[in-house]
Amino acid sequence: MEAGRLDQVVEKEIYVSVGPQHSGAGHFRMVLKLDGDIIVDVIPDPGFVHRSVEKIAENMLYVQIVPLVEKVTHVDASNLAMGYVRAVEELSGIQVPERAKYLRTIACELSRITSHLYFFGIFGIFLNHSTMFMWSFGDRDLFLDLTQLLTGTRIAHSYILAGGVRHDMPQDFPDKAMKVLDYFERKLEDYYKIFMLNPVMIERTRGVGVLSREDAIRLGATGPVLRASGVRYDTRKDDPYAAYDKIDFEIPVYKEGDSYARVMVRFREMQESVKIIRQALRDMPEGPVRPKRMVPRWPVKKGEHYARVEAARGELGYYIISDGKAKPYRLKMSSPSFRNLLILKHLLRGETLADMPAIYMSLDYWAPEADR
Amino acid sequence: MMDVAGLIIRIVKYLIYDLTHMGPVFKAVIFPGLAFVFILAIVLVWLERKMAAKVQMRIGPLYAGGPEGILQPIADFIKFAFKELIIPDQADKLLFIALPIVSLVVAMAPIAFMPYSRYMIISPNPYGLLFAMAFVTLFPLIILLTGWASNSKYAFIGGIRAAYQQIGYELPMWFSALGVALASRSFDFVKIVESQQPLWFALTQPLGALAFFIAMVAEMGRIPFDIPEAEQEIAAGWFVEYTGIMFGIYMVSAMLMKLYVLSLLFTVMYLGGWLPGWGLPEAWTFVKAFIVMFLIMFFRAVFPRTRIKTFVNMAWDKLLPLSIINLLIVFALTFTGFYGGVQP
Repeated sequence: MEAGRLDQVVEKEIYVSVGPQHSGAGHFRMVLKLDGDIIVDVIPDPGFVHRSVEKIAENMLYVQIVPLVEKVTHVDASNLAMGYVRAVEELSGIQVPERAKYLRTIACELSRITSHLYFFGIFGIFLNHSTMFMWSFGDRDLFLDLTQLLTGTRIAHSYILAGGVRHDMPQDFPDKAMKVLDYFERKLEDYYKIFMLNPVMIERTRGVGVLSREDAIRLGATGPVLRASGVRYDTRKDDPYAAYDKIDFEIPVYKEGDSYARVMVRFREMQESVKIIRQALRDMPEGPVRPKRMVPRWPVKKGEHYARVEAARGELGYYIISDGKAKPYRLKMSSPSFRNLLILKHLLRGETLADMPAIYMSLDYWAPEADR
Repeated sequence: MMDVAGLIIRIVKYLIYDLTHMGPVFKAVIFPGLAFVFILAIVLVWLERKMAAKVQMRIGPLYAGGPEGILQPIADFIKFAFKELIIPDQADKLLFIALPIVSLVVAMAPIAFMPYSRYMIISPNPYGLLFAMAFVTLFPLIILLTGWASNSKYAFIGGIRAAYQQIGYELPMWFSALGVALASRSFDFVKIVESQQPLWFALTQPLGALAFFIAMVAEMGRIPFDIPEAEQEIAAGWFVEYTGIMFGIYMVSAMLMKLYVLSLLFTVMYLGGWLPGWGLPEAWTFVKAFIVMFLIMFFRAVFPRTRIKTFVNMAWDKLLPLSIINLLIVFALTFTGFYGGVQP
């Protein structure tokens, strides 16, 4: 819009810029075209945190790519690494010890919980519910501590490597994990009472940004967004990896397809993650967790392979083309955040400006993951 | 020269007499006027943050000095005072600069009419309720003007939202206040309090008290009704363009003074002011108003923000009928002599 005083503006619609230097967007910009309070059109403008991960990967050893892809979504690091390592292992037929599979499952679920807690904090503060923000960020710290105990670092663990995991868990890990999980299960009930049952929260999210089942499939939604629209699809069940095929857990599915359902799916997923970690700790067999000697140069065979995992934000795919050398010829990431960006445009049209945070944040959009 | 010296001596003598005998100057400057209000404002800011911190499992202000970091608001104020004042190029400069000060005056003006006890009132006035409500009603206009003067889209949307919100809550608020005036047969705050002698109006007019309370929280712009400043949608809304001390003044006037004034108004109108009145009557008023303020501050820790659509719908669908029904009940009850006094 040209510069000028508001009283000289004769246009019916105004453009409002949201982000990246706006309290409500993160590393992402969208321009909303408003007619009064109604959003007529959305122009998403991603790319502010593009780091050309795929190109950098072409110049790195396979082992060096693990921390590279982890940093794309640092709140969800283990899941990101899991997808990449799975692609490499399946391409080259690398065998993984049984115990390492269980440890990978634990690392992935810890990642999922920390990521979902991050989501709850951000979603809470976007609805101006500061208590949810503080609580979930406070409790997230417990899981980061657990992750540190297991992997050695709080974020960007590089724990999952081809052929196993970097090291076994410390002896006191099961006890400490059980304590945290017990506490967290009690705490989730508090979350439910103060946030999910909060009348104002329900009023703001029920029936807001409804994504029908057909639209969800047509627009390629993935992860919790897809499951909130009534599609039972989860890579952990449909194409199991790590130890997910030996663990009994449910996939929360909601039919409503609104923001509330998307939040509810993530809430129930945290409960399921707790169950998964408990079972993994109980059923974990003894044995080695990695090959005796881990070489920096992974034995990757020549060929192409696509592998996928269920990251916290949805299905994450890696396509690797290897020409048998030390570095990949091409690595392509298909990230859930970018796929859900299409839906943002679809959902925001026709809603009011006040609904924007509730819809935008319910997609759990992670800008670096979309931009890569 | 002698005259001037004599005049100064007489003024000083008067001031000493006034301050020691709780005259008008004492009331305006010390209690319940400026000094008291600003000290209370500091305590309120600190208390709000400390209380929210307790709920949210964190410590809150601690390092700024004083016990439990009570000097934090002063540190904040100093920070505001030394920040650069930025006046946007496109803004309406005169309005932009004048409005924070006007807002502070408008927000604090009702304090002059509200009694802490029968005698502790800055400006005794038979139409105190009307005056106080008139100033309270004026504030959203300032928000709208601020949004317009800033000449920013976010500020303008915030201002429009404030106007929208006012359309919702203004009528219920005035209808509820009318119920109080009708029951006490006066606009005088002292008479309003005195006529709550056996039972508070909160008990005899619960519907009106409820409608007034909700409208009042909306008028304060507190969570869950902080719709005009919606940080996440319109980047702090109507005062987004303000920096430094002007922003600080807006925080004081819009966040604190309105909280204090309206809580006191609610106390006087519905919670019986200084009644039962034995001991120190001012303390009764203060404790009641403080409890109301604390309750409203507590909402911050519990609720998210509502939407403008929902709020206006609720105001017209629920609050307005509630307040009108309340008015009719009060009107009917006055004929039975329920509220005492002469029947109309």
